[in-house]
Amino acid sequence: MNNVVQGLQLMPISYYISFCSILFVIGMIGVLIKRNALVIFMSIELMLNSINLLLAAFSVYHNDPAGQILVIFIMVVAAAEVAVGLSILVVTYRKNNSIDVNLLNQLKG
Amino acid sequence: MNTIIAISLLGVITLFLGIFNLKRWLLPVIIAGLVIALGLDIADWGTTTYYFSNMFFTDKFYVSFAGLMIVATIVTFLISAQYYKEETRSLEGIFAIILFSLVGGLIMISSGNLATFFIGLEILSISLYLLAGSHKNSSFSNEAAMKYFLMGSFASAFLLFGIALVYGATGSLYNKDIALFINTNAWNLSSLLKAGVFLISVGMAFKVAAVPFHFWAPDVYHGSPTLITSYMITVVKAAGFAAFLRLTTTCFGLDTDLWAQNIAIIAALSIIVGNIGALSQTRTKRMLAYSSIAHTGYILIVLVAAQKSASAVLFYYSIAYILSNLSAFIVVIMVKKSTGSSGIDSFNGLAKVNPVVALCAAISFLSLAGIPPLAGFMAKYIVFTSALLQGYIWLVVIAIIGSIISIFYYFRPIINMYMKKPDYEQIDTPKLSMVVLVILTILTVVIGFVPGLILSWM
Repeated sequence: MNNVVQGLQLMPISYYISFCSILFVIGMIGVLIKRNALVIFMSIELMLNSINLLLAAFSVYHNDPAGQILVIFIMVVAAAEVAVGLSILVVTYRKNNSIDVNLLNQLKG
Repeated sequence: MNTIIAISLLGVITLFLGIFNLKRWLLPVIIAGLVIALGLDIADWGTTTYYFSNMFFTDKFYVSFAGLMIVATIVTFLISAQYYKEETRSLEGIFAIILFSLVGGLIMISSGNLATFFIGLEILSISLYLLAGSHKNSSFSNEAAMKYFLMGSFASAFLLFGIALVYGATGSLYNKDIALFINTNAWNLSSLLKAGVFLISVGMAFKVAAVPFHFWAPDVYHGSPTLITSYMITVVKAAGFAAFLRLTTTCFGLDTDLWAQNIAIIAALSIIVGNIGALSQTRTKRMLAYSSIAHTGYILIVLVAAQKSASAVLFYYSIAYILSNLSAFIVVIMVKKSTGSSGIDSFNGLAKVNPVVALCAAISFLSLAGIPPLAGFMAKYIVFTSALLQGYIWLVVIAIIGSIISIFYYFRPIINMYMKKPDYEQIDTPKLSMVVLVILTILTVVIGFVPGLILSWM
């Protein structure tokens, strides 16, 4: 385990930060431009996973386990969120026969 | 902490009552349980206790806000008796989820660590996504739930990215350690930390519906079932602001340059957009949604400007805001049950049909508009004076212009009630709702006269 940590620490932290930021931005763009609700869910998952990776990297960098524990919590929360999100999606599909978010336009003003 | 455990247990008991088909006991048990939780909460008064190696802590601030939120939830449950009267499906699921979301709010306020803060926020948010969609057959409710879910989880991702960056810059998730780091390195803060604090502020602004992150709020508040809207506008907003204040005071440290400027701009935008948006609304719920965005702006001024007395001022403002909004929503529910419409026109001639309800509605709208001597006026007055003392003159000018604009739209339902002819003969006023409404209205008037009592509490 110590070898792994030392090996990971050899790589500069800025690489991890840049990589995770790029992943996060890709997810963000996905949420903003995609119109299919399932793809938007996937993009949000990508954003959360980039955060997990960043937290794990920082945790190794600081030699502090708190970050890795937060990663586990985020996974649990993400699972709960998807369970709720998919159930909302199913109800919407039954109403509209589609999961295109552009059809959600009845509330305006 | 005992409060959080008690309310969680109450939620589970509620589910069991549903399984054993004891519908009649549902509301009495929940209200008795919440009253016990309130007692446990008040028993913590005056002490500061730390739990789970500083991950949670309870102090005066937590006790006051937890008490306020529990009382507002009790009122919500009391109104639910009228709101769900014709409902044939079992309600234990909805009630349990309301209780769990309250638990989320309490965890958020009592957390001393960014990890527990995040978990509390998510418990609150995930429950609310479900509650927003709890009218399964209404396409409005579905749409509101879907929009709220997509926007809410998007905002959570921003907040989390901010937490990750702050963790990377400071090496700790504890509020105390982060504040210590910020205070000792005040002249040499890394851009990582600044970006992190900025992203956390953006995430929180999303959650409390502040402009420019407010676009989900009118739709969600309009589409959700009215009872849930009133719960979201009162309890959830109060929880969001209390948690936001907790973050800015205990976590972001004394270096206000880091966040105060951004929040001041967000506050000014919220006041302008909320008040102007409300002007053109024809539906009461949507008007109250925009008015809550404007109030978000006023409350954000507290965070920026009130410094040492911030928690007391925020508490007073929250009480005034919750009281007036709850009584306004009770009247909206009564009118909607009787006329079937939630437009501002449905208030027509209410004063002739039922003068007591009309008077209560008028007082709550006047309090929201900030007319003396009601609670809403006193709250705004205290906020504006504290902002003036800190030198935020431009912010106060915008806030006062906003309040003047707000008088136009708050007076529209009042004029409809007193000047126009009614389209209906009578309005459905169950005793329970009436008693709650009258008590809330009396409190709105009384609290306007005794601000010192509440301000000296904290």
